Amino acid sequence: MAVGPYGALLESVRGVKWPARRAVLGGAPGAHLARTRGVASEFAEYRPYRQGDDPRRLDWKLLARSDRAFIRLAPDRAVLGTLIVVDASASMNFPVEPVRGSGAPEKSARTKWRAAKEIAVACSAAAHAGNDPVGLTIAARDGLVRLAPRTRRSVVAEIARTLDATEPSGSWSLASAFVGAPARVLIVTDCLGDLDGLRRAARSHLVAGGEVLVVHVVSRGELDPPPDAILAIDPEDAQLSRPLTAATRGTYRASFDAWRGDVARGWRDDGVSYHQVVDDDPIDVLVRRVVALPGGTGVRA
Amino acid sequence: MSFLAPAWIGAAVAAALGAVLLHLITTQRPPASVLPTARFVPAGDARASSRAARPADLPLLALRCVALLLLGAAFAGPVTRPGGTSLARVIVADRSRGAQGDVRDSARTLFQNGDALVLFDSAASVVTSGAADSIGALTSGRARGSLSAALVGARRAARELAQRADSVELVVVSPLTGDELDAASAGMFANWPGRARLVRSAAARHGSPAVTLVSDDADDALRPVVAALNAESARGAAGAVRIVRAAASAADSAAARAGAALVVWPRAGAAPATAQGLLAAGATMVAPLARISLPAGGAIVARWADGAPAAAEWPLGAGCVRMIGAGLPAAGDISLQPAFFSVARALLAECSGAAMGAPAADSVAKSFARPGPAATAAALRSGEENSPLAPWLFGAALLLLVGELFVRRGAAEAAA
Repeated sequence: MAVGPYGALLESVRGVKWPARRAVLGGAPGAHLARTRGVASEFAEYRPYRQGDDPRRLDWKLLARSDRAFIRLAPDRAVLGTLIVVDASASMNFPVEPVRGSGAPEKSARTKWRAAKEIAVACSAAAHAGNDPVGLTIAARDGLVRLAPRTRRSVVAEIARTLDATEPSGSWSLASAFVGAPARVLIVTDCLGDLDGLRRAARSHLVAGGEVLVVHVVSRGELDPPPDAILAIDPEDAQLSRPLTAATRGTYRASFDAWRGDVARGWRDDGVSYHQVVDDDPIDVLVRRVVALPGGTGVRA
Repeated sequence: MSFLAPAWIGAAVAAALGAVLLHLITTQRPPASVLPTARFVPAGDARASSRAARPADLPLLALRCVALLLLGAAFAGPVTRPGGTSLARVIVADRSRGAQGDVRDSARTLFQNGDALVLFDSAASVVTSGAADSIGALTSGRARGSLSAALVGARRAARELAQRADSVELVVVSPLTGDELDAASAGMFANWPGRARLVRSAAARHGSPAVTLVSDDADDALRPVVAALNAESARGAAGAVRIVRAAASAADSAAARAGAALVVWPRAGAAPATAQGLLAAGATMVAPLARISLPAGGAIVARWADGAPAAAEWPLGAGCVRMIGAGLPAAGDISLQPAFFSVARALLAECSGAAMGAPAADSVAKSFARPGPAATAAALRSGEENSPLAPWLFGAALLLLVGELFVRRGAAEAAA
């Protein structure tokens, strides 16, 4: 599997599984506890025999003792389709990456986009480790780039290649990524786009029995802008330019902090698993936190 | 090269330094930078003040500084003139009746080549050539001195000196008697823009002149006042004032030509004495007097209350003839009243006005001396000389300011 620069990261998350947070709908056999009952050897409960049931599932010993026909049921396990939705709007390309071959120093190698790519690859690897089908949707300038959920061995490498081939630019609503999405959706975004539309779509997905996780990527440069006065320009709205000086820095930081708090509260109130990450945080630690069950670890199958 | 108003140069340099400081504290748009969270920056003016270690917009700064310096130079008025001595003096020598020979000695001691000489009594004259000879021939005259006239002449001579000297000092050689000062003297001296020295010489003796009354009448009404004036007289020059009560004789005319004041004061005779007001040299009296007609012309010495002349004076040789048109009544004590004594003192003065005054008090004399630096040539020439370079400098500054406008506009467009 050719995973390029993600080799070390994938090695650090090897063995990490991504359990479902609730019983999944039935489907292909998998690692997650399903809502349906099957015929596995592990006993769960009895149910009276009904016409049409497979006679081979009758508990003959019980029938012999009690002269009543019961079906022996066992917990079923199924796969959980996972979709990684990555925001590739222009705001994710911050700090601006130096043009390759320009000779510019590599001081801004850590960008929100790079962090988002690593999160997507590592989480897809964790899902794939549980034999779950994993897909990718990138909201880029020209629309959505989709990779349908697959379980084949090369799917993580395909996801990595697709991400590497994408350059963040423009702006596209992430809400449309929920159309036809599998049960579990992980959104990697900076929440600077159409946040209200995205939350509406996420709530609908939750109501439909789905599972939504959000990783909010924040840049260190956004939290603590450089001390020199700048004319701050929004990369997604060229008309929005405001002077960030020593006099306005305090107000900016207070507003940004308050907004992040509101965003976190909003997602959590919606029932979404929300995680905030700074672009220079260790990604493997974040991935373990994302995939972990509340009060447990993601290593558990 | 020198400047008519060098203070403008300092002002221009200060303004240029101010421009440099303003370029160090510039208000401009900070460099644009991408920030995805720009929406959280409070909206405001896109320009921000910043301090820089080096001045911004160097070409613009250079244009502004040069324009300011050119404007300063234009206002300062640069002039070129041949080099001269650093200090010259205006020697103002008193030749009025109050001065004595030591004025000549002092002036001769003080005078140096390159100085200007001004001689004054009631008028001032600037000696343009042969100043040393003029000093040698300096004698006191009979005219009253006028320091105001002397200062006018000194200012005129100083402007001439300023063409070849950097600074000019005023030296007044005079006894500075009280009658040489008038209401304008202090103000005119205050206008002198630098150092001034007063070299006080000895004053001529002053006091009332000796008065001789030519009259056969032993009870002449003028005898008391004549006696009183003679008692006050310190000069002792007999016959300085000669009073005749009738037509003047040849001897009287001869005395007048020799310098005496011949006062013709006829008796009232048949003329009626009526209440009259008489004014002479500030003294006033109201008494029954007879008006006697006077010949036309002459310098008015006294007037009636209605403005008609009551006494007039005509020069005659070195002296003068003074006609008095106020007849005293034959009877009465008018001639014994103090008011009459005051008026009579003016009417019986020497020729050419009032009596010579006493030397001015030291406190007054000190006010006509001033320490400090000598008057600069620029100060003496102020308002009276034009710089031929000033229009060119103004034009160059104007061109630069127009150029600054274009450079500034270009810089603004480039920044936008």
